[in-house]
Amino acid sequence: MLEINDLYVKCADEDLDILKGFSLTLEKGKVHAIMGPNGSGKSTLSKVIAGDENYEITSGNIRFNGEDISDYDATKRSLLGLFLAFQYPVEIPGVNNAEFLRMAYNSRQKHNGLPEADPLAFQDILLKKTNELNIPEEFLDRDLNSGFSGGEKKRNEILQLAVLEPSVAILDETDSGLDIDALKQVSEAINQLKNENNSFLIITHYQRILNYIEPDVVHIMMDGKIVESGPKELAIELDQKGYDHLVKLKS
Amino acid sequence: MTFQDHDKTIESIVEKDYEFGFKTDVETEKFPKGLNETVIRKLSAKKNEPDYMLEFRLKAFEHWKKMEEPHWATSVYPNLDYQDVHYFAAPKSLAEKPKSLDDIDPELRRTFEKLGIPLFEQKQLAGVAVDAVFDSVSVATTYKEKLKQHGVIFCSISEAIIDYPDLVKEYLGSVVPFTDNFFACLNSAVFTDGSFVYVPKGVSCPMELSTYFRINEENTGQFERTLIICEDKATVSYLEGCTAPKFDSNQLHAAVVELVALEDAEIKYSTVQNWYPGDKKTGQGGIYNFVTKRGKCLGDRSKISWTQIETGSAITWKYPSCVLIGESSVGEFYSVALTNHFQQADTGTKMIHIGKNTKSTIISKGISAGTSNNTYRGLVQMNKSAKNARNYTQCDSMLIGDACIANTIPTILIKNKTAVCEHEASTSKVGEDQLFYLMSRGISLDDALAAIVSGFCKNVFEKLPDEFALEANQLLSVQLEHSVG
Amino acid sequence: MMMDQTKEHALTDIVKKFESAFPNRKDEDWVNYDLDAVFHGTYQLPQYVEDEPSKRDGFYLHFKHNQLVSYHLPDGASLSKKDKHVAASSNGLIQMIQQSAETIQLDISNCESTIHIIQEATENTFACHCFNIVAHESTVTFNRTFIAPKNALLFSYCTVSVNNQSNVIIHDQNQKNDGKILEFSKAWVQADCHFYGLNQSFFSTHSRFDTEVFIEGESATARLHGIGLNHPKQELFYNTHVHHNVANTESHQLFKSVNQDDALFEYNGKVSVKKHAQNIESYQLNQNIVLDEVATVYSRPQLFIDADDVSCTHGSTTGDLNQEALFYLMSRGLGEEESKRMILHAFILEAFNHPQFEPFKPTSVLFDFDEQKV
Repeated sequence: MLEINDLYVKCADEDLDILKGFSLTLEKGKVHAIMGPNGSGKSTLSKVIAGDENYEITSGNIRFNGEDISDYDATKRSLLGLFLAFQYPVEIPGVNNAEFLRMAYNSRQKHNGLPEADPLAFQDILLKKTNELNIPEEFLDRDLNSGFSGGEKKRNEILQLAVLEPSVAILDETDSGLDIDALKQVSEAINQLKNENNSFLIITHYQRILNYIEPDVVHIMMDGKIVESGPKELAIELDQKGYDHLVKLKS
Repeated sequence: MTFQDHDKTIESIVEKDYEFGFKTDVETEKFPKGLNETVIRKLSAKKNEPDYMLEFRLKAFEHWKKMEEPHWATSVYPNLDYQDVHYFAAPKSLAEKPKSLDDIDPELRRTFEKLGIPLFEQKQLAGVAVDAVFDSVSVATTYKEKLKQHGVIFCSISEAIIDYPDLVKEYLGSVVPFTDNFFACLNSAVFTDGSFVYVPKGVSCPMELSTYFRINEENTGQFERTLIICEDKATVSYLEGCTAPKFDSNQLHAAVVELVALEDAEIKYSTVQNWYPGDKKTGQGGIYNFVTKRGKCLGDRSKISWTQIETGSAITWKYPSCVLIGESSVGEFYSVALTNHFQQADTGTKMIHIGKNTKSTIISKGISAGTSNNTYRGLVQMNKSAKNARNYTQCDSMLIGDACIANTIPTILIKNKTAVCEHEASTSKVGEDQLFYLMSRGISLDDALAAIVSGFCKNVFEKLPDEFALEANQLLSVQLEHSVG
Repeated sequence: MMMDQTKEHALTDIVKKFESAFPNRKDEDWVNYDLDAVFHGTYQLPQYVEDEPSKRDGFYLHFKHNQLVSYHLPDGASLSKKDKHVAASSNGLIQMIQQSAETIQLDISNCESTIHIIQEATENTFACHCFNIVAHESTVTFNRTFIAPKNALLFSYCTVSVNNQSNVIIHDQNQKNDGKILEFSKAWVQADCHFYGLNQSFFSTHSRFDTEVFIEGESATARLHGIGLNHPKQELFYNTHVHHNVANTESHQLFKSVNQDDALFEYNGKVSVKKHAQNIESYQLNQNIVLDEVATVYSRPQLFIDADDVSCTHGSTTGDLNQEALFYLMSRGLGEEESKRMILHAFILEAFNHPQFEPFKPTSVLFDFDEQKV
């Protein structure tokens, strides 16, 4: 589904490589986790996949269902079925959450040649999703992420994920800043959404979230590339021994 | 692709044109160009005005001759040639005001229909009465009779001058005296038409009132005059809209609007201003919108609320103001001013607190894009007598693109200790992270920008009558299309 | 007042010479400032005096009448005198100062030091001081004291050029001056340099401080604070203009005032961001307290933005003492007067809330307000 080939990326206004030969293949129906210490380039990776133009791909490419999407803007990538759950979802005051969701939903419907939903029909879709995910309905009346707590923002990301039904979802440190109850809620929601037709890329600093969402493969990322991949036990090992141990091992 | 590349791509996208730039082909009677006493006498005679009005005009004209054109605003424009303007232009078919709506020249009717202002009452937006002004004359006023049943007078100012001389004599020029400023003075001498509203004691006007101004002729000045009077405990909500065809020359629109609110009265005045802004590529042409709008809260607990959505005109120079005289009276100003391409806007408000416990709120949202210049200029003044007066001002600017200019020039003058005045302002670029976030949800760049801008303006749009909030929102997104990278 | 006819004429003559370039009331910066009244007084023109022997400790420059009368400087600082010259571009007042006094240039390099600057006018005289500070690789604090007794008129023009990783702190003290003070400062701040200005004007009759800062290099910052306390009938004007001429720069302005009966306070602050000067942060705040019914406060925090990647905020509040805070303190058992004093004290001290300004916190200000009743 998602294929990243020998990707080199730098910040658009700085001459410093952040990703240095990053490669990854994410198959349909799989869950991959990427773990890595701070500054390893995890968040850059997620933004680059989503099409953030503050980063520049200097070599390598990103393929989605075989199509090179490296030059596509964020809108086009999203319409193809990519989704990024942001680590820090931005607040957009004045933009109603439900209206925003309808806009995004209809944009995708239109792209797929499907009928757009009118406000009433969409309200039904939304209420069904919020019920399934156990998300309070009042989320819908508020402004997009505006005044949401950290945990609420993350749950709102999951709601969007549920509404847009992407084929590849990248969760960028969705677990960070969540207390244990919120983490459980978010994980349960993700497990509900997971099926054989979509894939997830979970980017995280801690092994904690992987207790709730079981990964098929765990990758360890350091200094802009993957240094080790293995089964889920790798995450537990890493959690016990820490990144320092790994650094020493590698050097 | 870097952001720089993106900027270029966006710039190269062809831009949407001004929708209302067509000209109506009707036979027109025009005064020759030029301004002198004879022209004013002729104008007054043309309108069959009583003597008091002619005197008013001539006095203003004498005074105007001694005044200088103001250039203190941040907008830049050449000295205007006041002799190169037609001071009266009207379709010949309107030489006699049509007796009923059915008698209106079909060509004119089609024009207003095209502008979304049908003149047949049954086709109208439910609950909105319209006075349609075409160049120098009022074409028609709808629902006049129905309003009269409630005691509400809604007609053109020309009719009011003849039919309600006592009201006009008492209030015309009482809020904006002809000596007030250069353009108001010129207007007092040569105003052609406009609307008159009188809501008697205790009446809550049952419909939205609205005036639609259309400039059609080239080189014609439009000098409209609006007067709204609300007696004790009366309320009214009024909206004005305006458009003009595309011409390469600049046209002057110098209007005066006066509002008077007596005890417990409430006037809500909304403007959706969409005059032709000039050519997108060269900046040539467009309307000079030099307008004086002021309301007087004379009665205790009276309230005047200005809401304006300014998207058109080459240059806008207007400061809808409130003079808060009555105790516990309230003044409000909600504004969205969008400038794009070569537009210049210098707009804001004045809140003059005189009475005790008076309150004012100012919310101003300025959006500058292209190579435009957008200035907020405001005055909050609290006199010694304004005990416990309160003002809250918030003015935010949003910048789109790196060639635009945004200025914020507030003046706060406090002369008593019990007054409290708070001013907050911010200027920032449209959030790249916000755009990226929306785009990563499959929303196009233009839609994302429109959503962010309309979110930015939300608390002003909320103040518009429902019928027009949507229109304003659409207007804004059309004006902004393809202006971001 | 003694009056010397010829001398009076002399001042009028000087004024006349530059009057064409004088600011007038059409210029919004000067609308409320009565320039005519300032010149209408009768002042003697200062006589040239021989150097006065130093009676001070530490490093200092002492300006008196129209000249530098004595000084003591640290290593790394050197003085030179410049011919009287008049920069045509300046306004008439600055030209007049330049013409009336010699320009002293103070070059400072590789120096970390505190230098006291005394600017003194004597009773019934008219004095002009003019000096340029050029700092290289230095961190210097200038403690500047203005002395303008009764019927004195003190004009000052000072330029500061901050280069090569320098930090310059200018701390102005204008305390209980009965005369009139009109001061102009211009600072040019180069890359990686920082300029700090703090003005304390306590209970002076009639003062105006015009500060213009040009931020010329990346990563440079400017911070201007001012705190003005006005007794009845006193007048204080702060005019500032910060120009962000290059990208990645930052400025802060905080101006506060407390005003009693018939006092006049004006803050006219401008921030300009030049085209292509991206990534700018600018903050501007003006807070005023009006203690009596009839004080007048003008506040004009203005922004002129020609670039798009900026984050600028400005704010202004004017009102009585914070009534909520007052109620809170009183509900904890404090007396009304005591509570008011505490709130006022806290309000004033906020102007010193920056590591560079901490050392200048006053201790005894409030007693002066007490006398007059809070």
